Amino acid sequence: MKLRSTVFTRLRVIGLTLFAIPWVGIPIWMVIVNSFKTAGEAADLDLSLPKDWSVVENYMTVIVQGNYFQALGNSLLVSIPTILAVSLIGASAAWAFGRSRSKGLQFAFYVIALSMLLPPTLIPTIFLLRQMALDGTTLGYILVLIGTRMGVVVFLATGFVRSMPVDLEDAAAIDGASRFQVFVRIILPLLAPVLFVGSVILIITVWGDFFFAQFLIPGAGRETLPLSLYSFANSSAQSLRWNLVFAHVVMSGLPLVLAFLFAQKRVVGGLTEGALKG
Amino acid sequence: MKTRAASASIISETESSANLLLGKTGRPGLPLGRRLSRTGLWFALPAILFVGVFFVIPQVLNLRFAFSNWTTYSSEIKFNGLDNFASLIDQGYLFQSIGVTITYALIAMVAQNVISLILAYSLKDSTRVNGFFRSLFFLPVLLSPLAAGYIWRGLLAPDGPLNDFISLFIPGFDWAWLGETSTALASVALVDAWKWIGLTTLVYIAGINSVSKELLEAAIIDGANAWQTFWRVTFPMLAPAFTFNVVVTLVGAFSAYDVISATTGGGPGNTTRSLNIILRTQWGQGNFGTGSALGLTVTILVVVVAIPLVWYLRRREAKI
Amino acid sequence: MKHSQKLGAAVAMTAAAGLVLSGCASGGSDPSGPVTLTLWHNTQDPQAVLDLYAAYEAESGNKLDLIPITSDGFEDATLTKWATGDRPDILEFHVTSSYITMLNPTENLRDLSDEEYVANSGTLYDIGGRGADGKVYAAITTFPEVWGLYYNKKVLADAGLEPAVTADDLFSQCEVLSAAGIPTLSESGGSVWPPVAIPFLTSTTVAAPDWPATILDQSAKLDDPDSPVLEGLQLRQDLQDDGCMNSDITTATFEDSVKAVYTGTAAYEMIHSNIASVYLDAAGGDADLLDETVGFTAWGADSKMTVINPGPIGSYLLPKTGDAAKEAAALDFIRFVTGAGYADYIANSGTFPVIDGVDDPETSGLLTEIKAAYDEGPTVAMNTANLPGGLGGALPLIQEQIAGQKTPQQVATDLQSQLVTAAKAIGLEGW
Repeated sequence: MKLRSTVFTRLRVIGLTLFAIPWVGIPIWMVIVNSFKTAGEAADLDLSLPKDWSVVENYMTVIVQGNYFQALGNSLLVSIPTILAVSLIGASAAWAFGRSRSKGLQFAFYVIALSMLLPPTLIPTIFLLRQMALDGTTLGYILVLIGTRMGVVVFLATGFVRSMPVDLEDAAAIDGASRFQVFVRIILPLLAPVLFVGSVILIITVWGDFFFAQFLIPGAGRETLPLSLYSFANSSAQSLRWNLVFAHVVMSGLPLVLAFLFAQKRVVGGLTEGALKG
Repeated sequence: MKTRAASASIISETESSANLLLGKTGRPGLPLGRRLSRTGLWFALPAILFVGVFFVIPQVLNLRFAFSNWTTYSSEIKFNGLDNFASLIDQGYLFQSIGVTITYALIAMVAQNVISLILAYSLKDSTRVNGFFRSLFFLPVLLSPLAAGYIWRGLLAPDGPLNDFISLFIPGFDWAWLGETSTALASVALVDAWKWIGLTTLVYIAGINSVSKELLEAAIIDGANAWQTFWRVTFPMLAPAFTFNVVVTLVGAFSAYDVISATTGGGPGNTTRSLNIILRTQWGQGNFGTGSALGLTVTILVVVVAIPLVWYLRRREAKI
Repeated sequence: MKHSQKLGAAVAMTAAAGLVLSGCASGGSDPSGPVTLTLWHNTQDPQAVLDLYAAYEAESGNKLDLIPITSDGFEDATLTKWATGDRPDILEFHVTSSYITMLNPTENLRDLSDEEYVANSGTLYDIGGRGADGKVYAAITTFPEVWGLYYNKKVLADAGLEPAVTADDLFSQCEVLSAAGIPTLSESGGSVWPPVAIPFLTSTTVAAPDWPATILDQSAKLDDPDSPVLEGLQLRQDLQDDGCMNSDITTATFEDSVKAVYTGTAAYEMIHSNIASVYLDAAGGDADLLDETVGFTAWGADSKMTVINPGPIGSYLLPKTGDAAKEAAALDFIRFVTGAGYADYIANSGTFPVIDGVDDPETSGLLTEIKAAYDEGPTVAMNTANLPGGLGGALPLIQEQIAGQKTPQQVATDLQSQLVTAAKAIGLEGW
């Protein structure tokens, strides 16, 4: 019995490795190795090692000309408040939706859940922001992100709330806790795994958002990482410099990769703990 | 349901800490549910406001533009009935791009779910090795779609690494995956699927792990082998994960733009011109009315597909 | 961390972020001091143009807020921002009459017809920079795009050929080159826009000078049997069908085509003069090596002509903003870049001047060949650029033609109906 399972495990690992190499290994290798080459060599877009190594020059160019740290700061400035706001506001709404039998609230829930699937429209959003005198501002961009991404967290968290027994909240209420206290001290901690999962899904889309960023936060000082990548890729009067583009890709993705490596276990854990009721 | 076991354990842990925080011991009483309905509105209000203002209102405004004659040539925006749609149909753009969009979404959805399910089953146990592989497969998810597009444009080039590899078996193989009308759409859809599989896999892993151990053991005692156990017990219990993944991948693909733009730009010919690609072309010509009409078409498509799909899958979940 | 602490921290963080952001959000200009002007610029602005902006800032004390618009999707990004009512103080954009019309100039742009540089630019403003009403709305500082054929000198020499200058030349040379296994033309369908070269150059060089007027008064159509545009589309089709083009049309980018011609794996590329810098890149920056390897010639379907088109880089328009101080400063900018700052810009950029009073700079042999083509002429402006809509819809249609999904006739018919739509939208009389 033990021998069989060991053989199977070995086979499984070998199978996975064989699959992972072309699936993930080669594309990632492509990005990294080409980010080490000179522009001329990188233009060939193949998998060979560089003949002329240009690592430091490429990455320094990205940092300096591509305004990497400023863009990184802007991406953080946008992502963190968005995620916090969506998590807190979404959790609070999820509690209401999950517990309430009011028809009105149920309808609101369906609309918000639907917003998760529908693509947001650009031009009317800009018109709206102009009315509020917020177009072109980072604050306006954040508010739009919050409004259009709320659906995911509300959807996941509401399902979770519904599957939670009410006893705990009842007990606390009887004991004189205000609704706010119940929310903060009981609901939020219980929702933590789901909110965590929601944040992960959220940060991937917010961090990489290019389309809205392009129109909602113009201005070189406010560029987020995707904007800076794109304008950097298009900035040469000459041809697309793949080596620099890929160096930028590496640097843009690095924060997320690092964050994920630390959080990997919790992501799966959060999903396992029943984030999928909805 | 399935996570009652997990929820119960969380609750028993937090119950004691909750009691400690509140300094009381639990006593049965009025259900909170009834009290909450009346004031639940306050808790839901911020979310409702945000979504209402920054999502719903623009969608309503877009309706106005979609049925107007708005172009860049004049600041007049007048209602023009169904002219925009008629014009899009006349030029052959509307139905062709709907077809491209749906085909793209179906290919991406099927590929994503099949591959994720297989990966999820291999990686369901939380071991260190598996943890490593899960992270590895998650890396493409973290790439921006633009970057993913550029990478695969290079990998699928006629003289690129994929063809170099195939040339080991079929010498001189230089098929243009992204340049031939027969394979471009499928190739781009697969790139899209590739990018998101890491995430779908994790969702399935969670789903697989949430199948109660007792059910699995019962099946094994009854003499089912691994294959049968999977199909008769695990897969049905995966229903919520399945619903979530299928709906999100299918509908997400309707809005595809970045990947297509970075790989083929809508070509060759019109084979990868999804609704969003055509939308940008219309904007580029200054036709904002028809552009908004295309945006509305995407919205309608999502609603028309997602709602029945969710309803059907939910019923299936309930039956199981 | 206790949960209440977490919440408190989160609230504090969001509040702090809010304070920081509100600081960022306000960006008004100080009325009494130097002015900040927003300038929408193409990310492909070369260093010389960026230096020009810096020179203006130094000279005037004003600040230029450079808003980058990525060159990929430049037109639709600019038009989309414009559509939302957003107006920069200075706009860098295409200045053909069809594009200027897209900005609704009578309502939105300032008339620059009486400025000094207009009179000092020779015949430049006959080919662009004006709206349909004839007023000058643009300030053009950079030499127009010169369209023609880049060729590999060795490939032609080995085959005993002189550079092709007509359609007949291309077909006869195609026979010779195909026999030697070399594609005559490298067509870059992968970059979407380059394949308009053959149709538009043909249409421009075979059409009578008054042809655009016949289209506008509806006495002729784009899909008429004798339409120059149809002739151009058909010529393109014939070259492709006769095997005179590369095998990877749909995926080749213009960078790939440049490489092909530079290395001699193709003989010709039909594209414009700004791509010379990409050729320089391919030569590793060695201008002499480039001159030895690659040459340029003007081309016309029936007889050799030099087709030109004003480009967006270094071409500026002034939107009406209603802010007197900023409008004055913006005009000041225009006067600087066409006046005091112009000489340095030309010397810096190595491009040829279009305004009198500045000498030609030292440049590579290839660029000198291009300038010679321009000087020799006869020069003619690309005639499709001034039709309603500028035939912008040709790009995706030609893609379909390449893939064999549409015939030249069908493309021409579609272009005609797009023209009608644009004309109606503009409100042209009689449409």
